Amino acid sequence: MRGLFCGTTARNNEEYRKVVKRRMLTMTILIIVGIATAVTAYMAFHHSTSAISDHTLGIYSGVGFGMAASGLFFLIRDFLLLRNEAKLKQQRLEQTDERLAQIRDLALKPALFTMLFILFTSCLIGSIFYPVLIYILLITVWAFLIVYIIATRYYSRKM
Amino acid sequence: MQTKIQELRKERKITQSELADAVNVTRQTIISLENGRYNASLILAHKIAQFFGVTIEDIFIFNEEEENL
Repeated sequence: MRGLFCGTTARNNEEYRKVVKRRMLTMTILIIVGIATAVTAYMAFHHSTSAISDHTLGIYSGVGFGMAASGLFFLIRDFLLLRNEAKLKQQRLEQTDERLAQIRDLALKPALFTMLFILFTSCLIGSIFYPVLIYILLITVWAFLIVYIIATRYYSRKM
Repeated sequence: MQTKIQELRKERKITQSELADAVNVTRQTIISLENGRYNASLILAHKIAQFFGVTIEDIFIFNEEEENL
């Protein structure tokens, strides 16, 4: 998972510092969304007229707190990183290194294939019991294909 | 692709870390280049050649058979 979706073109520590600051902002948003998810579930459980079940509350609050906790962890890590030039350089090299970028791209292919396969089989089996799942599969596959085509055309024009 | 990076590096008493720092890559990438496990991009090849003050052809040995040409 290390470095997934983290590629950057920063050429020196100063440029990378800006990348880390932007990432810290993203983590702050993640914390806010996480807390909002957990609070919304809690409010819905205690105050809404259409009460949600214990199980749903558990899922929503778990996801919410998970997002907030991981966001906080990465926020603190980046905060400390900005104060350590050596570690900042080491992480910059790890994320801008062309060989590691190629490895990440290559690793994404089997991971994506596995995810689509699991999604397909789980929806195929699950849709016997919950017919709505087949629509989720179709929307996911269509969204994937549309984004793939748009991204391919975008990069074809850029290169 | 075979390279003469290790040869040039040892000749000039430069460590893998020093070379990696100079061309902005990780030490592991230098190791992979020296072992021929990874082919450098044109930009990296140019940076390495510039670092040693030689041409790209002097460092990277292009094998036409290997590259199916």
